[in-house]
Amino acid sequence: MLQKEDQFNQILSDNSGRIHRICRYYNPNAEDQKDMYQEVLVNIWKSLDNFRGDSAISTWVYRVAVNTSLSFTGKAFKQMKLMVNADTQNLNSLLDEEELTQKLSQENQLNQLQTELNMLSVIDKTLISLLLEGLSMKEIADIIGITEPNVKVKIHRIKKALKVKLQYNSHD
Amino acid sequence: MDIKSLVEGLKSEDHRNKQITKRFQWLLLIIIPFYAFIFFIVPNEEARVINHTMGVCYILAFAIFALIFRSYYKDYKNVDYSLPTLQMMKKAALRYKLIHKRLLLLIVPILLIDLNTSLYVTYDLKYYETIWQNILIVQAIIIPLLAIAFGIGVLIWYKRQKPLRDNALLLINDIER
Repeated sequence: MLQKEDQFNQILSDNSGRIHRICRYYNPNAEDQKDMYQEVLVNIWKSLDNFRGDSAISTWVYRVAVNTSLSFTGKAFKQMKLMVNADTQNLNSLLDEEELTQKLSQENQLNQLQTELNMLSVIDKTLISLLLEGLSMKEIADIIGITEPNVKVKIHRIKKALKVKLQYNSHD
Repeated sequence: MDIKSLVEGLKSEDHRNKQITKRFQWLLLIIIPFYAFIFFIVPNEEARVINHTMGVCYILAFAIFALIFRSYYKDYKNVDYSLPTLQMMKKAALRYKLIHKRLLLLIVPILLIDLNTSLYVTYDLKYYETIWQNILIVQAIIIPLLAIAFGIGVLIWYKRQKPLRDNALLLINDIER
């Protein structure tokens, strides 16, 4: 039991930031973020006996965090939000365009992105949150359970749609 | 967040789960064989073949109920959140299905209890003159009771588990699209 506790504490100290960020992506208010953070920790504990070391521990933690978030938001599943702000890391990976990314620093453009992101399906939001975390396509595929080419296609489609919508709105 | 007390809580839950599993094992490995021993080995001159049949029905029904219950308990307690999302959602969709193979297994202990009660009413209680009348009166009680129990089960499933299954199916569809 002590070994499990040590392992748990180690995972927590190495991955606390990642878990906090995933919780922030899906919950606008601090109280919900705190509740979800605790739920993720509970599920990490419960799933720890199943960790076989087949994937990196960080990928494993992301899996637990993402799966918990999908279950946690169950009561308001279809309304699940994906929260981004100017400080969100890797925003440029979402748009692949420096100029557009710079425009996002303007408040209304960021709001527009936020609106468009929240119109995505639940799983597309999840893919984007993992992309914003800076994960590779392979790691995302490993977390979601689909093939790497499939992840690439899905993300490409999302980015293309987002780009079109944002460019269209910026011309208005 | 107080991580220390969270870990303490989780450890005590682990302990509780282990205790419940142990109690199940105790029930299956000790009580049932013990009951069977008393029933079959200890001589009882008054016991007839019918009484032995009733005993077998009772022990089997009890054992199958306990095994099904343990299997459900394990499933709900050991949800693995570290599986890939698609795999986890498929498992959830299966877990929250209204009717699946394991539930159909319940028919066996129910039939055994039905048989046990019919034998008891016919041979021990001798409620009516003919065997068929006794069997019919048992069915007239057991079938509505089962229907009510099933109805309550469906209502609980509809309110609590169907939304979870719907969400899981929606996600599976989104992922595989």
